[in-house]
Parts: sequence; C-alpha cells; structure tokens
Amino acid sequence: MIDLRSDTVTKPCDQMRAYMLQAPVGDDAYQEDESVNLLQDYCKSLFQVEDALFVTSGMMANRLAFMSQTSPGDEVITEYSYHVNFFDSAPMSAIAGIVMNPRHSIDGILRLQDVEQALDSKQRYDYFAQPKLISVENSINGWAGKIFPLETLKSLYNFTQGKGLSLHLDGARLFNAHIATDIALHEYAKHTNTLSVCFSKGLGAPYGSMLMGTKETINKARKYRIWLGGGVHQTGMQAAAAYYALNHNLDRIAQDHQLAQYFAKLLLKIPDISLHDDTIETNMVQFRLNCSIKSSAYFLDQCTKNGLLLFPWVPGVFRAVIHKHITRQDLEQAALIIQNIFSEIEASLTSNRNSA
Amino acid sequence: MIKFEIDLFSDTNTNPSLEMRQAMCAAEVGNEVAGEDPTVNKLIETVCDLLGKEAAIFLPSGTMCNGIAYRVLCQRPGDLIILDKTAHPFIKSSLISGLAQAQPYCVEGKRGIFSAKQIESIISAPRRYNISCPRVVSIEQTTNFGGGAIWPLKTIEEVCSLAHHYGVYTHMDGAHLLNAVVETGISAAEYSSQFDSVWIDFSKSLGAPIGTVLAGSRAFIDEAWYYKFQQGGGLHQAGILAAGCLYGLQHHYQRLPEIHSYAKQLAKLLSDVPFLKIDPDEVQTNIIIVEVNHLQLSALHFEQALRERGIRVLALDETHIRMMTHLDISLSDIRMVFTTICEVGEEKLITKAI
Repeated sequence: MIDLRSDTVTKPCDQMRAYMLQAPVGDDAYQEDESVNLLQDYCKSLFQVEDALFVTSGMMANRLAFMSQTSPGDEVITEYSYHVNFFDSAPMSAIAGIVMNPRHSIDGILRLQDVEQALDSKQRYDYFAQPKLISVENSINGWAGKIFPLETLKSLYNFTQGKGLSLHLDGARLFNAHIATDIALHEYAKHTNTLSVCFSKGLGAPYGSMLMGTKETINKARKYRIWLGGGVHQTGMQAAAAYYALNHNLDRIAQDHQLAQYFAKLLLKIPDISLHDDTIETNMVQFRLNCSIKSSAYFLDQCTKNGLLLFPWVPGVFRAVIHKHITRQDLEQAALIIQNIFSEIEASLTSNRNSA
Repeated sequence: MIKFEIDLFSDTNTNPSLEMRQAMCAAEVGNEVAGEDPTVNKLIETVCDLLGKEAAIFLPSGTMCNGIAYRVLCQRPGDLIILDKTAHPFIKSSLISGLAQAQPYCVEGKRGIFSAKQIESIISAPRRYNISCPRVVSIEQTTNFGGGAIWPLKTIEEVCSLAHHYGVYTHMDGAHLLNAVVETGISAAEYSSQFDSVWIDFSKSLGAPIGTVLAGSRAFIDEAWYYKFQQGGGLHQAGILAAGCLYGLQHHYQRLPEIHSYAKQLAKLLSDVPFLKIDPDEVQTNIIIVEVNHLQLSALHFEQALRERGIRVLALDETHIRMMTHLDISLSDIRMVFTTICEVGEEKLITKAI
C-alpha cells in the first residue's frame, strides 16, 4: 500500500526506537522528566525563545496558544484554509471561547492588508468582540504545502506589536519551510509571539509537539494543559524520539520535497487532472479532477483498491503528502494507478456510447 | 532534577523497567487518530473485556478521561456533577467549570465515599428552569485523597440505581480501580457494570509511563472521539505507549497485592508512633494518609525534613501526609521510611527537651 494521506503516518525507525529505549524519565506533570526537559531546552536554544512546552499533539499546542493569549469572546484573525480554522474552529470556539474572523486571501497567504480588512470589517465598540490574536501557518497545509514568506511574517509581527495583538505561527510543518528556504528556525520564531512545531510529521517521531513563546505565555499554557488533560507522567521516551528526529531526520526532508516535485510532474501528464497550485514548494501535492468521474468517493475507492491511499480535501480535490517511507518508484506506481483508473473510466464510457 | 532514593509522593512516579521499554520499542504501530494503530486497538479490546463495556478509547491522561466523560454526559452549561469533596477531578483541576462548563456539587463523604441517602435530595429535586440540573454522579475508585478507600459494591449499586432512576448519568474515575479489584476479588466488570462511563489508568500502579482507557457504550465512545480531538488527545503512533500499558497489565498487575501489603505494613508501623495518628485497618490499598500530631512539626515540616533525607512524601495540608506505595518501593524502603520518620520526629522532641 502506498500511503500518501499524510506525513503523520510515518513509523519510528529502529535507531529511533533504540534511542527511546534508554531515555531517562521522570514525572513531567511536575517538570521532572529529564528527557522532556532536555528537549525543551534544546528547542529553546534552537528557536531562541524564552520557554518551550512539550505537548501531546499539534492540536493541543494550537489550542493552548489560543487559550493563553485570548479571553472568551475575543476575536482571532486567520486565513480560512489554515488548520486552526479549517479543521479546528469548533474546539477553538468550544474550548477557547473565541470567535474566528477567517479571511479568504487570494493565495492562502494572510497579508497585512487582509488583517487590516479584518480589523475594519466590524464595529469595534468595547462590548463587541475584540481582536487579540493573528494566527498564521507555515507551511500552508490547505495550499499544498506553500511557504508562508518570512517578509510577510515580519510585517505582521511589526504591525501587531504594541497594539494589543499577538501573533501565533502554527508551524506543524515549519521544518519543511525551514529546509526549503534555508531560513533559520529562530528567524521565524523571532517574528512571532508564540509558535508550535510538530515532531510527528516530516521528522518521523511517533508523537508530540512543542509550543514556544515567552515565559509568561507558556506558564499560562502549562495551566491550561492540565485542564485539557495534557499533563502526562513519564513522557521522556516520546521526547527522546523527538530529540532524535531533530538531530537525524531534519535534512532528509529535502528528499521529500524533490519527490513531491517529481510527483507533480507525473500528475501533470494525466489530462484529467489539474494541480491546485503549480508551484510545489515542500512535500505536498494537491490535485483536482477535471473529468466526469462519478464522485470523489468513487475515485478514492478505486485508488484504495489498487493500493494507493490519498487524503480527500474537499469534493474533487485530493492531497498527496510525501514522507520518509515514500520512494520514487512508489510515486511512479501511484501515478500509474491514477492514470489506469481514468483509462478504465474512459474505456467504459466509450463502450457505453458504442453499445448505445 | 532531584532524585529521591525513596519516592512515596505518588504511584505515578515509577520508572518503566527495561523489559517494559523493550516491549514498547518493539511495538507494532499505526496512525492512532485514524483508528489504525494495532497495539492501541489491542489495548482497547483488552480493556473492553476487562470492564465489560462495548467500546473504549485510548487517551493520554486520567484528567482527559474525566474531562471528556463530563463533556459527553453533560448536556447544558451549568449542569451539576455530583462528587465527593475529596474527588480528584474537583481538587486537582478547574476542568469541571473551565472545560466542561459544569458545576461541581460536593458531598461530604467518609474517606471519599458517600451514600445514596446523602445525594437523594439533590438528585430527586424537581427539575425547574431556574434550578441547576444534576446530570452526572461521579465516584472515584479507590478514593485517592480519601486514603485509597474502596467503594463497596453495594454502595455503588445503591448510588447508581438512584441516579439512573432520576435519569442522572454515572461515571467512575477508576484511576485505582484495579487496586480495589485485587483487594476484594470483585471483578473490574462487576464494579463497572452500573456506570455509563469508566476509565482505568496504566501509569499508576501498573507502571506504564503514559496511558488511560475510557470505556462505555458505543454511542458514548463515538462522542468521546469528538472531544478527544478537541482536547489535543489525538495521537499518531501511540502503539508504543499502548504496548507499555499492555505490558503493565500482563506483568505488573499480579504485583498489586504485594504493593498493598507494603502500605499496610507501613501503616501498622506508623500507628505505634506517638506523634502520628493512623488507623491501620483503614489502609485498604496502596495509599496512606496519616495525621501529624507533633508538638513542633507540621506535616509540611515533615515533608521538608524527609526530603532532605532523600525521601519524598506529599503534605496535603498542615496536618496530613499522603504516601503511596508502588512498583519501585521495596520492603526495606518501607522500614527506612518508618525509621526516618521516627528520627525526624524524635530528634525535634529531644532538641526541645534539652
């Protein structure tokens, strides 16, 4: 089975498992887990941030970022397609109690003008929703792994500071952006109030995300982490896996990016498919079906039957994510499977026409 | 980081053994959030059988189990959750109001256990638009801050049938349920049968680093999945954690009676100490809560003095100390704790006398 649904499907390698085996542990609920502390300290220096908090998942990291920088009834400005809104708006409203003001930008990048429009889109009397947080994403999942430009991040950061607005960066795939652009991780971090990164995507660790920011904000997040049930005990083995991944799997992400470009080229040869965005910047390809195929579900089902797993985004649009288990041959095979499905459909349509 | 030679602070403070780590690191894994992790699925099946429930869900912590169960069972903000005043979800976090948007209704139980009679008036109160609606009765088996006391099956049955009679849900925080099971011989399924939701913890007496499983009806667990995502409990290759849980169940469960016997021995030893008050017959499982009646030293003083001697205990307030025995505690540790407590207490009395 060629699994292109997500880079979260990666399994820990033997060396990572061996490294986990020897990890010293303690009770992280009381900040006594040596391996967690080591990972948090390592991230503090790598990202040059004041404080870092290891949490169970990216969803928890983003939830905590919102909860620690807003109060119920506050407004968060973001782009419609970003994970915090596209997938996560229900919990953001149910748990953080915030109201989203999602913008439809022209290309998935939330620019200063979009934010300004959002700010001016409503009355702002004291007793109405107050904008408190801007949330961006890098790389942008809903736009096939597009990179959020550093210059835009800088302009948002400069705009927000001193205005009672915070800037959060959901960096679930920031490592992909970092490898693709060669911009230092701390350079991204410098222009945010909080950022989250995920170890269980391209880096291939089994679990865990890191939320980073000032001591004050992270202390609040630590409290909310207990509320949500993210206070765990001996999580050092998981932290060790993340530490291993940071030190061994970061550079290999470049291969995923090359393969994604290769896969895009293969897909472009299939006439019934168009790419959602022509420039493949990181490890994802999104494509749209142009033909009179019965339904997305039918296409997905045919792919699965032939050994290819894809992630259905919205009807007619599919996402393929390249990760460490995927080879060039897998992608050639994947393109062939897709091509064959179209050929069969074409053939059956022709025969139907002939028999009619 | 401080390393204590003897750590009685909590039974969560166990270091996974090499064998457990090997089982974890060899685990077959998949994407847990998609229900594709074979080891997590195996753990879930095992727990369903153990608790006699239709469905279950893997979660990272007991607090998340309580939070999710309350959110599923409560219907409207402001609903009442009835629990003992010592109940962990009430004492240790703000999740009842902060997350579930419910209100705690506290009962004055005895060592964490209350009777059906005590909750009858609140449960049977007429439902009116201007009165908060009781929605869940939540019990803790065993009672953590009640000193590890075991809820008798009869009391459970009375409380649950009263609740169900009035359409109120029942929830069991089973963080230490298995401790009750080994002590009474009553099966986990029997204890659980009256509850709409129940969870057990593998990171306490079973010694796994992380992991809890929440169980109930299929409809309940379907709802729980929704909140699992919301609360950041959706994990990827969680089979590594689940393997630790399975290992704990297979290899550490049988050690629980021994762990209990150490707590009972320590309680017996301490019951003869003049400046401490404890009824050793009340220590049923692995938790000891001892009252300090020392002329000069409070429970906090004892905590500090013991800490300086490499022993960690938990002062609950000025007069109470909690100690928990677990996998990493030996009989000689128990003797050492007893001797050191005596030394600390007597030293101060002697100094004063001089």
